[in-house]
Amino acid sequence: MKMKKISWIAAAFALIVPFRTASAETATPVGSDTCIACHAERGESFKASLHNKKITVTKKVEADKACETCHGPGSLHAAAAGDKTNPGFATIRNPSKTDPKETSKICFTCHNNKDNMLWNTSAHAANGLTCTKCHSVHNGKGPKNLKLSANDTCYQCHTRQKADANLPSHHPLAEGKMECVSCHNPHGGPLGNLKAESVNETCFKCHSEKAGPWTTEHPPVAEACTVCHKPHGSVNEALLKQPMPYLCLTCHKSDHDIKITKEAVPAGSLNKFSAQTRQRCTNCHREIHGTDGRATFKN
Amino acid sequence: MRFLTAILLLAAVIPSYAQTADNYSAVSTARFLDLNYGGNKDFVQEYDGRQNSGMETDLEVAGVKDNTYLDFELQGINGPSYNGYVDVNFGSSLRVRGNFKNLVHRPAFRTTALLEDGRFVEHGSMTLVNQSKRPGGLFNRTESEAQLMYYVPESRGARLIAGYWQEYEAGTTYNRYNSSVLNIGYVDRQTSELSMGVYTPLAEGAMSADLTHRRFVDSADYNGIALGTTAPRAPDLRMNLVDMRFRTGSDAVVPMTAALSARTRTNTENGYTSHAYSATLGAAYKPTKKTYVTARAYGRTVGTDENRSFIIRYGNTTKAWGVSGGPHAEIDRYNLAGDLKARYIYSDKLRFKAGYKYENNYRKNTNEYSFEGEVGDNQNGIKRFYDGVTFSTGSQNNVPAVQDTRNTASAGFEISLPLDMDLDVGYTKMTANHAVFNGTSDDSDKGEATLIMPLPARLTLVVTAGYAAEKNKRDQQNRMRSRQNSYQTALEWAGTSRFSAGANYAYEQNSTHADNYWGFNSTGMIHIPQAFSRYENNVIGLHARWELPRGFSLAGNGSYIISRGQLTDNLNVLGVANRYSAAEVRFAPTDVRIARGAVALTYLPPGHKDLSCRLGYRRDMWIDKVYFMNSGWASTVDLSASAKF
Repeated sequence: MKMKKISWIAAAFALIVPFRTASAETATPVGSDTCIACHAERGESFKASLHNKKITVTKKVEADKACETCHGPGSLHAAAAGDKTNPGFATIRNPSKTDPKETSKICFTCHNNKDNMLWNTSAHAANGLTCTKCHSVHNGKGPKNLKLSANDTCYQCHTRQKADANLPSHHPLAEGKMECVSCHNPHGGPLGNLKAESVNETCFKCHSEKAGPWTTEHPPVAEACTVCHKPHGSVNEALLKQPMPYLCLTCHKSDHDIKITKEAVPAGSLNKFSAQTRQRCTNCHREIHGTDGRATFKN
Repeated sequence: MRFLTAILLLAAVIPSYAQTADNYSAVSTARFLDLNYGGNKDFVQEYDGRQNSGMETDLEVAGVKDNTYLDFELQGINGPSYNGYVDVNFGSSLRVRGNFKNLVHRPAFRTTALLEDGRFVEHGSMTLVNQSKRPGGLFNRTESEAQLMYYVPESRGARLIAGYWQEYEAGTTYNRYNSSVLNIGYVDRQTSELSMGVYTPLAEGAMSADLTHRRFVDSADYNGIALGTTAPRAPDLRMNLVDMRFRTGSDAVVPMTAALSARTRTNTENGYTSHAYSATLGAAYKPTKKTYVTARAYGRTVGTDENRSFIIRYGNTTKAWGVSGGPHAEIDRYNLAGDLKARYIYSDKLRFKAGYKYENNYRKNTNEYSFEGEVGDNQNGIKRFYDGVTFSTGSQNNVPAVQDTRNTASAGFEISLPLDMDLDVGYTKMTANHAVFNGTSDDSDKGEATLIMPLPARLTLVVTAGYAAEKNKRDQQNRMRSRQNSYQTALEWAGTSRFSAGANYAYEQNSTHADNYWGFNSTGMIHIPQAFSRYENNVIGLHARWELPRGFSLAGNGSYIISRGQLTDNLNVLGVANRYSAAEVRFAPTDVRIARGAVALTYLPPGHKDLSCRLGYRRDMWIDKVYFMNSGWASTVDLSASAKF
């Protein structure tokens, strides 16, 4: 009885051990030439890419090892010779198909800087986007290796902003003088996807003349530029949400009488001449973003 | 020992020479542009300062030599909007990069005019009608940046960074004061920024720290007009920033990120200094293979140290601190927010998402602006408008809310439907105990749905519909409510290997109602209930590409925009003398058509892929249906040749 039990255990172990040995085999590097033997087109595109040009200089990665720096050691994948049923076939890493967390880990090996520091908790990461959604190592364009141009990359999903950028009043995105990333950090920022920690500080980088602090601030300006402005584009002048005087009248009462007549009018009231000038409030209230002058924001 | 240390340090900074193959490429392009234009250039060429026909060139050089990588690009040399970029890596230790760009901006002049019963009534004494009297506004904006990075050897990417950034604007712009005359204003201002930073791995994570100093100086000559008693403003504004960021490794069970910043702003003219501190903490967690959760917390405070000895210089008053109409403390702000987002993959075909955000804002020194401070029909302390609307004294103001709390919840799903269609639907609801201002909302609903539908013959149709409604439920003074509908659709044809095309259309319409109040003296006091502002935009876009035989290819794109806006106030109040005779007045009407189109024929000689030629034509038109003087057009014919070495 005891011998039968031992034989049974030995037989089971003999079956188990070889299986465990096969699955415990680890991949080793094979060199880029082996990769290119099957993936010739990929090899050609990588040769022409920015990654190939820079990786040997900046990361001291020999050209022969370039493929496996991102895709991992390829011996088991190469040994599978295209047989997808072979367990070794899937051991190669494909950053465009792996879990987003795995993909960012691959890219973060080299691309680690302040701009992508907050990626793991960003809105794009929370929505399941990976680096390879926007970037392409093999076929990327420009210094950021984007699949499309800088703005077109964003417009793939953000179609409303694409339409707004063509409205009469707009930042010069459509003219190619500015990009979405001039204000936004797609890798995540301290406040949503803005580059700075607040809306106003993002705007003040280029519009420093509005920053203050002023003796007399205009409260909606200090609250957020977006209280009055639509930064992606607007029908109204100066990217305003509503035209003047309507925008101003949503908080203020117009202290200007609208007695419209061609005859002489009492002092302190308007005639048609002045109404046509003053219906654009900032014709007189010029320093509307804040001033060290009069509290009426005229200077 | 010192000598040995010096040798070691020197060896650390001199890049080691790996075995690399030298290679380089260069592309040079010469371009001739023939510019024609007509009418008003201010709108159609708002960001294009090109005045005349001429030649421009582009140059790109990239390569590796002796363990040094160089990438250099210069575009638009000899043109008004040139830009350049350089990136040099000296081995693995040193990197220098920089860029600059120049933009010419025409600040579009906006005429002030009214539509009275459909009749365009411009300013009676304006000199606009005579185009030759337009003084012209045109200013340059040049932005440049340089960075020097030193990578510490064998440190997994730790580096020191020094940077300089500058923005300079100079030229002229339009100015309208309380005057019938269109005047010139001058622009001459510069912002410069110096920064030092460090980045270093920390175990499996990393941290970065940056110190930034920025200075803004306005040196424009002052065109003293109309208001007389003013003096030139020559602000000199300074800013200092400390910014730190952290992250744990991506492999952590709960990857976390954090950001801290401290910023001071000083106005050297009035002696005011503001201090802002912010902190962000985020965490991501994947409890199961199908669930992903992200949480973030954000806090920020802004406070201003006022210089109480500074007294308002200008105007007709010199008042003491805190007296109504005199200088007062600026608003200090405290913001706290937290948000939670979750994504659940039910199956390959169905995914759910949900989110919740809580915000609490507190404001100190929110000064009073009394709404009914005018003299009027005053009986027993009640201000009365002609239509009977009344506000008792002190009951209405437009002061910012001292405290407001906002709750925002969102939910949605993505589903893969039969026939390879994908549908994405989302809804967001916001409620607040107070709106910040009378004109902002304390309640909003937003919904959006997108359908992607592959069609036969390699067509793909994308349709998006959106709806947004905002209102201020609690305010009884302005009673703001706004609705917006938007639709976008795009049809793309992948075509053949030789031909592809696409078209897209976007429609957006917004209607806003809010009470308007007019009046100053005893005959004023007009209340317009639910005054109406509306805008509507239609944007159509087309693009196509055709690969022709013998190395030719033809590509074109175009867009057409119909943009209309109106603000209507009924100022004809019955029983009140000397009002508008017309029943309806439209302020600042907008009705424009913007057409842009470009087509280009490119030739790549077979067997000579390093050479190319291009003939292109572009036309832009701005048609103003309200005021013809704003209309204009510009066209460019360009002929260019490129060679790659």
